[in-house]
Amino acid sequence: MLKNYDEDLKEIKNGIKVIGEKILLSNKTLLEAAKKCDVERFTEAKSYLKDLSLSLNGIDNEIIKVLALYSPEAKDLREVVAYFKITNELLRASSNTRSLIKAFVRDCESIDMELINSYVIPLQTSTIKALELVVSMIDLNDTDELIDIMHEIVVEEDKTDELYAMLEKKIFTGLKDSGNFEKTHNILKAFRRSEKIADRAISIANLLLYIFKGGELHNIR
Amino acid sequence: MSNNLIMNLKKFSFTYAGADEPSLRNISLPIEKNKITALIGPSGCGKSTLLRSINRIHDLYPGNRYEGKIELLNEQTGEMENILDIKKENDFIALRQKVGMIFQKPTPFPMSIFDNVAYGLKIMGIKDKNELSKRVEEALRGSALWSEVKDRLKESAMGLSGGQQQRLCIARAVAVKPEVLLFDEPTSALDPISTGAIEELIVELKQDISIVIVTHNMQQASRISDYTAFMYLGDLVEFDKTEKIFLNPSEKQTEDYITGRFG
Repeated sequence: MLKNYDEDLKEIKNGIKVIGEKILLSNKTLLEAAKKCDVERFTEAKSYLKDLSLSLNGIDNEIIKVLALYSPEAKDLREVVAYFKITNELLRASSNTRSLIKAFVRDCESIDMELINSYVIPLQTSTIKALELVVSMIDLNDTDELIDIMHEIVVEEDKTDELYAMLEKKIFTGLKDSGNFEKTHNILKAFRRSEKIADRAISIANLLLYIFKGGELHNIR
Repeated sequence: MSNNLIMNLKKFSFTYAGADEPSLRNISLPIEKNKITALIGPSGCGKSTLLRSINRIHDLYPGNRYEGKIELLNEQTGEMENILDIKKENDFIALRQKVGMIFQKPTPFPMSIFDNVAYGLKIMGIKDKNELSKRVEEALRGSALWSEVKDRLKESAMGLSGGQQQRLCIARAVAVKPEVLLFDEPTSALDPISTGAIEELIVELKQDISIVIVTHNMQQASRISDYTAFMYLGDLVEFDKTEKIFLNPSEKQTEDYITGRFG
């Protein structure tokens, strides 16, 4: 492929990495904020997500341009298609992070700290680990290394599933005493976002692996 | 389109000798400096006729009729000059040094690799052997051919592969330091590897030379060009940035052609 194709693709890849890093940073800041219910830090976490949808839109248009101008084939085609789908996953991860921040700002004063320390922090820690791992995959070219990292992400994502299930059980057990179904429902809905972000990480990892491994899209876990 | 033009065609029409109707009608086409402009369109649309008008190669045969203007920037004065005003043979030679042409089939001369590249330089009056060697090497390096031929410069150019012959022709054209290079389907006779090498070379060349290329290969036009002109039946239907032509063409005819619905 021509140099200008490689440069365009590199720009797209870099754009995706930068956005992945911002979402990761936002989630890390959110975790720190949650430990002390620090409103300023929640605002800081939100600031990393500013204009991300605009940036992702720009990347999508770049991808369409690459498809139209260079007609990539085989691995080149898989790479462009994967990036096109990854931008959508990043948009969803960003939206989930934003909702999680909003819920924390609204409810963190009233959430039991024991619940946060025992369930929410481990849940968010696993989500961050999954995000960290998937961002590290973006620059890799070695299929075996990518598969190894993919396995680590699967472990972290499984942890988020289990922690969320435990959290749900804990909250529902205490529901009879709290008598506030709406609030409980909102808290659960918010923490579900963290688990969803880990789901996005695994989808992105699948797509990054698809570039090198081929086969069918979304079918290689 | 910026004002950084190397050539500018204004309401240009062309009629072949003996023909009643013009083959090109009212073509207005700006050619930007250090950019690649692709001419696309179905067979018979006039793209090669237009390309050959740009260095007046049609004038090798008498009786053709030109109307309108084809302006070329005079680098020394900064003024645009109408090449359709050229009448003298020497001026035609000077024009074709400034506006070189690469044809569909490689056309090496039946002489050594070195002499092929030195040919135009000798016509320009360069006699000094050291200067000639320097300029030949420079041109061969610039055409990504040096490493392949440096040990056999005295051998016949006819022994080179098709792709190498085409790069040699490019080196021959580049040696005289043209301002514009015209490529008439330069890769249609080459395999995909040689095509890739020529495409990379064309993209490299635009740093120093402005390029106009006729191609039937849509992917080639989209891959390498900055601007694309779509022609149909002697008319220029649409001209714009390549990205615009291949993503959001304004004319339905352009869209139908690039998506393979006609032509």
